[in-house]
Amino acid sequence: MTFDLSFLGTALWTAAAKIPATLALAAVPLALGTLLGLPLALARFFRVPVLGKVIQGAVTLIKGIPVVLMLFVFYVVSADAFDPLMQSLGLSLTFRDFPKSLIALAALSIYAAAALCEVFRGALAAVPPGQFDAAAAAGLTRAQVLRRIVLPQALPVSLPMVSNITIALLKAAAMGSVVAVVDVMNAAVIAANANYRYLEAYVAAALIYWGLCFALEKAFGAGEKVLTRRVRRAA
Amino acid sequence: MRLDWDTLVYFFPKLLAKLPLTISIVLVATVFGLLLGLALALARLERVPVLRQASGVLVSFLRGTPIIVQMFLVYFGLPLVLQTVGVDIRDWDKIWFVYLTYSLNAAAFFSEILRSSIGAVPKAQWDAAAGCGLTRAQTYRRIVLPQSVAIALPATGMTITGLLQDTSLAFMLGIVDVIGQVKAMGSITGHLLEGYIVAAFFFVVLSLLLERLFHRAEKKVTLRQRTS
Repeated sequence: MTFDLSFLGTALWTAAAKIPATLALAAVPLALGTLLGLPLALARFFRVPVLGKVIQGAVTLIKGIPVVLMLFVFYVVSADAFDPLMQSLGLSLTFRDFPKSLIALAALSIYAAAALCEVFRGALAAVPPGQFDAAAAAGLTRAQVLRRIVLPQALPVSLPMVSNITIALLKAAAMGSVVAVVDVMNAAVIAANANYRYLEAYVAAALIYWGLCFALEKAFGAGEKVLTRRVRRAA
Repeated sequence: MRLDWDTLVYFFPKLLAKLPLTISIVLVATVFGLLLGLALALARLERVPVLRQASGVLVSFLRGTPIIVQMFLVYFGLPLVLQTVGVDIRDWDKIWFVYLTYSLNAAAFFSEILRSSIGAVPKAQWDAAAGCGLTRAQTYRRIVLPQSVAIALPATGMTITGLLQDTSLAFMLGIVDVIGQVKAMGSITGHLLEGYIVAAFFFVVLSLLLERLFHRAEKKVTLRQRTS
């Protein structure tokens, strides 16, 4: 067995075509996770009775469950529920027609929401408490304090952690292949199924992920610079 | 879908029996990851020529690619590399490939943690130690590392918890750990969901235990530093 460079090229090309799928598997959970995670973090930060505790418990639970298990559970549940649901709706769709990427998106979004909730809570705690009092004394409502004073300071603080989570999501997206989602990794493996050149396929996938992570890190680094400069100028 | 209580109870001891394997992956990766991670961090901190660049590339690669991909790279790649020097490892137990992958992966994350925690020790301490006549190695061992351990502890705990989560992928190489056992039993009994739920329970409990353990260690270390 030797290393086949020309097949590495083929695998790179095939897998690279699925970069948009992998990016979507990271970007959609990031967006949904932010939309969900921010209100959850606010609820915890302001110690909303009962809800705050429930969220804390849920975040601990979710962070303790491996992503791959969450993917399996969602897969089994949707496989079981899909056919009866479609039958009751009078549609002739079966689970074969169900887009499996929805399973990956749902599992990754829940994971992202839990991780981002923690990050935003930490960032909120980093805003000096005196600012809340000062803004309240200036006659701002709680919503105004958040929108104009607290969030513009808290969000730049959270950016390095958001960058870490985004990179973790991009790498976790490779687990989508366990529920038959065709992303970068799965595309490379499928290309190798014909000739068993799996090493070349995984090298191709690794190179693509490495490039994507590198680019993301740089992009977030640049974003951080812009944001901190703006905050400093405003201060 | 209805959860079958008897099946949950049936799965429990069978999966419990696989926990030592999962824990062994975490332990091996933590021990060897810390050793290799320290070496990688020192190569960069001490600006060792060639090794420093190699360490940077290796750490970047291990942090920038999914661990599933790394596991298969080691599994398919290492035998090929060793074959060129005449060593045949194709009949090795697959668990060795898992131990190796997870140790390498952990080393990359530990090296970044150690690098920043060693860098966080004030530079004046180096000068003071040199003034007392300590060699560089002595300064590391007696002055810098004991302090950086305390700084590194929270991030190390998070990395080890992450490692525990990552062990859930070892089944893809055919390892019969907790998840591999669920898969095997699921195909016989026709019950997967119950198995996944019991497995998730074990992972959550282990994560909580790890968290508690590190919380206590942090308290102890900060307390000792304050008293000394």
